[in-house]
Amino acid sequence: MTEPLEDNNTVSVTMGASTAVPADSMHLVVLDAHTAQVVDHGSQSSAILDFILDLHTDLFLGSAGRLFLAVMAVLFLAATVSGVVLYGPFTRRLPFGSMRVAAARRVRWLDLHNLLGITTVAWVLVVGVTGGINTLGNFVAGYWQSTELAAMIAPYRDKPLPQTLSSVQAAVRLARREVPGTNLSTVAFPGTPFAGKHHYGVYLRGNTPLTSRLLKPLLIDAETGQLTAKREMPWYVKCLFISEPLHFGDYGGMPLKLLWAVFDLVTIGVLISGLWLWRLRS
Amino acid sequence: MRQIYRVPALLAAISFIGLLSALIGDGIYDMLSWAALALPLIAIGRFLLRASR
Repeated sequence: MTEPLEDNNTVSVTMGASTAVPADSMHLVVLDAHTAQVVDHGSQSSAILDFILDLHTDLFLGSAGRLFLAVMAVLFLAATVSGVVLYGPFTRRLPFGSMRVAAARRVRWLDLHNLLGITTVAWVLVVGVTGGINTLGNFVAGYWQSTELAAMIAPYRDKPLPQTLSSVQAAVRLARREVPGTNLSTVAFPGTPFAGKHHYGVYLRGNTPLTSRLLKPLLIDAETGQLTAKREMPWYVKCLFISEPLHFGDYGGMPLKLLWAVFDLVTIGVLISGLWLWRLRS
Repeated sequence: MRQIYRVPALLAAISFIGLLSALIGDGIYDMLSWAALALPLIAIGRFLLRASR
């Protein structure tokens, strides 16, 4: 192990009683990569965060909620782009950052709206686009499973289920030797959605903030311990992987998270001042 | 019109550098990211402060 991976030093393992049980009765266990202790997901604070994350991800409505939020992301981006277009004519003949404090109430709100909006527009666009991409995460994962992963496990379709499983440790070691300079991210056990019925799905990640998000799938025959398939993720999966940090801002330590929070507040300021301008319209 | 978008375009370019640099590496890349992303926020603070005086 080289340098500890920031915000990402966990290993997740999917486990079940046997390879024949359905995927939804299996368990995902998350381990700290340094201490090998199970990461505690039962604490109060993470229960609240899980609640907020679910609300933010799908409004507790599953796929329908995700699609609704995808549409909202498109509207959000349309509003942002139209704001940038309107910025030109509305601030003509004004130096950047003008705040006409002596002017009418509507003009003051307009100046505030323009200042807050135009200075943060790059961040807003990136978070908006990546948020929209993230809403499609489940669909992208499902598409990858039914096309790429299906092709990787296709030669095994008619084979009997493995009876005695080979060593998981050996599978991980083999995978990491195959792709030097990587760490383990996830091992999916045979019978789980990301492994197929006959393989360990070993997912490796790189060592930089960027490559640590780009998982690389390898399939190891769970009976013989042989490597049977190794692929690059297709571009649309890579897009999804990179969209996650760029949406959540969890890739540059606490200062980046704090900056994210301030950008968030400014964006809320843009929304409120925009609503206010709409209310004050003549 | 080009004049009007000059400062916003500059701030956007700096923001994009900030958003990407922490993704590329740690340490100095993170610091570059913090500095670059702080810039538009500092600009907002400066203009709000000036208006409130």
